[in-house]
Amino acid sequence: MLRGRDGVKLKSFSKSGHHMLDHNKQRFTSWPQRLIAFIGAIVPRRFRTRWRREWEAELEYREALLAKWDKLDWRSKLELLWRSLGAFWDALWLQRQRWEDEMMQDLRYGARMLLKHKAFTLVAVLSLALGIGANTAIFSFVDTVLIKMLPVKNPEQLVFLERGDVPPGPQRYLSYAFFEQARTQQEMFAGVCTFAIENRRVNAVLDGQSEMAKPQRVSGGFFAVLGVNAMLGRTITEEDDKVPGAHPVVVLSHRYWQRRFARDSAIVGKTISLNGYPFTIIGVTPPEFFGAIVGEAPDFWTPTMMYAQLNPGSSIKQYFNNPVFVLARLKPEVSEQQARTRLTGLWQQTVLEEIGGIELSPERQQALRQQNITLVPASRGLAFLRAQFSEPLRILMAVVGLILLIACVNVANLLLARAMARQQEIAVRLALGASRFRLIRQLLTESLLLAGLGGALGLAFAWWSRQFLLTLVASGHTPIALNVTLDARVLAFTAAASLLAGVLFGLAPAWRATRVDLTPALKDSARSSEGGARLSLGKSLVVVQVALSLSLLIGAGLFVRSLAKLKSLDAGFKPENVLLVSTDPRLIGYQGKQISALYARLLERFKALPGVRSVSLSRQGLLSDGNTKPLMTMYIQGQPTRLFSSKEGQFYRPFVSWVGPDFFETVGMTILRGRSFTAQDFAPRDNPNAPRAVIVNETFARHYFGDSAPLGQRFGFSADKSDGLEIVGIVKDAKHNSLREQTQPTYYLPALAQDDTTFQLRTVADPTRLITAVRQAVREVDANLTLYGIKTLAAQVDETLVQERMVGTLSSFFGLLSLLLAAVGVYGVMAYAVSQRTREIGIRMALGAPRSVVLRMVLRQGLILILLGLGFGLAASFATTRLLESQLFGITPTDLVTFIAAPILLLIVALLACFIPARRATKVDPLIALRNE
Amino acid sequence: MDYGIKLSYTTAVILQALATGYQYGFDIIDVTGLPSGTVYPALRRFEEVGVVTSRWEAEEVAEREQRSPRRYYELTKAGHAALAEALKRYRALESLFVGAKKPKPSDA
Repeated sequence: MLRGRDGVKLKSFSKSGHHMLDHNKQRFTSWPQRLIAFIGAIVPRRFRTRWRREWEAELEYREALLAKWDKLDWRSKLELLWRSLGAFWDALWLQRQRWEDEMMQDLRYGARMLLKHKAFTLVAVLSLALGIGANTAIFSFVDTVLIKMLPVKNPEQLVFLERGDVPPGPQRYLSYAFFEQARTQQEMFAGVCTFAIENRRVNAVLDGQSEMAKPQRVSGGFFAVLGVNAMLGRTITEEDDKVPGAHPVVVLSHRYWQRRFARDSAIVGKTISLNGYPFTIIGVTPPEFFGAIVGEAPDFWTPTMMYAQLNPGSSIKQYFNNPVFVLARLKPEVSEQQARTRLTGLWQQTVLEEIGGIELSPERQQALRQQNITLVPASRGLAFLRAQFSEPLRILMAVVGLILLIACVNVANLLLARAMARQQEIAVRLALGASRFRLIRQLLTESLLLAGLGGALGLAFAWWSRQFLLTLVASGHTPIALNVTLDARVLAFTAAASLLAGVLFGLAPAWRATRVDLTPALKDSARSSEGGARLSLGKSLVVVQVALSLSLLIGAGLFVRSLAKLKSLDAGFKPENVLLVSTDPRLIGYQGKQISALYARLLERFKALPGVRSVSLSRQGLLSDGNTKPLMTMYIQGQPTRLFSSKEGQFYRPFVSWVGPDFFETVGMTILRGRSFTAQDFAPRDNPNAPRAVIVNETFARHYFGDSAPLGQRFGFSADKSDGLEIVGIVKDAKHNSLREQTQPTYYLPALAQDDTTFQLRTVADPTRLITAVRQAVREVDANLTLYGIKTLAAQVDETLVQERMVGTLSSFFGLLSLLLAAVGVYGVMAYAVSQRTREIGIRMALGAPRSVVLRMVLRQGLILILLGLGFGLAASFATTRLLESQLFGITPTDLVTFIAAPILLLIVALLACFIPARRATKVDPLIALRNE
Repeated sequence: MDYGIKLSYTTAVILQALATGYQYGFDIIDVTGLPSGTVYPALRRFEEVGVVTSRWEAEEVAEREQRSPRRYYELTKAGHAALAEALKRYRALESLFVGAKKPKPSDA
């Protein structure tokens, strides 16, 4: 009896002594059998014989059975064929076995290898972790700011209603009247709501504790439209928002509830006083909800009808007269086009109604027809953040992408070196019959293992650096509340990046390593013919590294210089040693003249403080949000001048700033001509028809008065007071909104404002030391007055540079990192090159070459590579830095200083990296070197 | 208890078929009406987790009928336990296949 594998009898002998059956021979060659043979090709070799036997046996049996029953017609043959197709699924299932076996083998082997060469593994994993971690960190920000949808129900149904015929900006907002119209369109929208964008802080008092809080006014449908249910209590509904002042209710945000009220579960129903008016807390929102504006996390929400109560001294009519933002949830069965047409019609109707039946000129009719309403997807919420940060984030993503590339190149070089060292092992395996594919797969598994480890560590790096990045981003003067988490999308990104990196740096070395000429490799010769090839790949990789690193350094240099230019810019005032303090007495009930009187008292108090040189106040701060008056016409010397240039579609409105006494001296603005304000200008005028004093800046003078001397000239803003303002002085231009802006024409009026204000105190020494004294002084005047916005003017200036600082800081960090990585890469390749040439060096030195010659020889080799890399890097940078133009300030994208300094820095560092192996080369003992080969 | 396999209706039917004597792949296909693409992967899975074991049928039987020996599958103790649990879930299966003609593999 002959038994084969699996104990199956191969040949059997009957009693008569000859072969009865030779199971090895295929007896049936019908279609099903052939199919089995065909499918069997993919079954893992280990199982193949058994598998084929099993299927063939079954098919044989069935065929025989059918023949016995006389049912072997075409129908049953087809059925048999059909059954044999099932073999395909069976074979597929068995693939798992094969894959599992071989994968496990590879993984185990790979892990062993990595553990054996700990130093290599450490360096590789670290470089990868830095690269992948940086990518993950930046991507998580990109995700939160640019990609993530609002944490609400079905965000894709949300839309903003805007004017479609107007360029982007606040002009797109709609009127409140139209919002009310849109609200009635129940066939189109499941809900329509509005919310206020500018929300002034309020004084929130609960249980005697007072604190400034950030509110957001929303219309009744807000929570319904967003589909958000309260976690505790309830949210604001339409009922709460019907009558002005009727429903003083407030919904707390989860964050605020946690921070201020320590998650008090009995908070619902308690009374909180906002700006002196009692409100009832009706609920708390779920943790992830932050409203509809990305980057802003209000502390609580109140109905818009409570406008007057929240803003003492104003009436709700003011709110109704202003444009509003409209957010709606589109019904799924309504198409956008339908909605748009309908709304446009509604809009035109509304406008006509407002005009009240007056006959329109043909041009105005035409203009009206152009107006339309469009729907803008709101799934990502409103993000002014996006506009501000999308460009910097994109730049940073490119930067970290390059870092990852450099890290990969480094690891590839390392792997290449290692693979070459294993030439013998690989040759033996190939000789023993391993397929090249299998070997490559095994080497690739090692790479993927490295990449996986690097990715995991990188994730940890990203997590840690999150806080730092958030601080960088949030250091602007609008506090940004971002919830940057490592969610599923970010994790998927990291996994993908790791995978890509693994394949990237693993493939080339694996390919090269397995392309082995067997015979010389099997011989115990460390001097493999492939050495030269490895070196050339390694060399080209280093050139690439140097080029990439240079590009990053140049980019970083440009940003840093741009930032420096901005910082050193003459903003028109002297920011050092100035303390800013803001307050709003209206919140505690002050009105009208009381406020001016209070301010006067405070000014005196502040002036008396030791260490204070001068004090002033202003309605609009410097480099904080300023506004312009919505004016149409200005009267200069009695002549009306249109402020609107229809040609350019721009308003040339002057900016206005109400300032207190000594303002210009305190802030350090220079009066060029004429005089500053005196005490008289602030006193009530005896003759109401006499002109008021006004000071204008250079741009104003130039713009409206051209060459004629503006001193003494008069202007006004209404027909009956067309010369109410007389220019008494011209001040040097100062930046009011941002450092990058072009200065706008501005005029300054003397007034102790009757709304909120900011005090400026110029101090002798460090302004922050005076904060306690200032608080004390304020308390003495009125203990209930709350202060906010306490910071130095220098800090305020810094805040406006948040974008530039973020990009500058991070790109410098990454630039230096890339420098390090490139240095390591250069070192690695040069070290290998030297080891290759040990014999040659030994001979040279034995023949009497001095050390300096050897040194020069090695250095020259390295220098060529570095210079090549620098050359490519410079060319690439020249071509691409123009893309950064929008981010730069004061320097061109091909700034000479940067383009010279960066390569020099890189050259020095790289040469140093070369130097170490070069020196080692000179230490070669010729005897040992010659003996070794 | 976790038997390593999902106790779905399909697997329950296959287990029942095995228990009631239908122990060859194609027989199970015949009697359950399930396609081969379902039955065979199921059987492989069963074998992997130890719910069934497989053997070649007796040589003599195959020789007698002049064909190659077929592979047949047997429920293990765990398999019987799994079947019992499956029957609790799908009560209708209890009477399935019982009483039908059963070709036994060990018929010599």
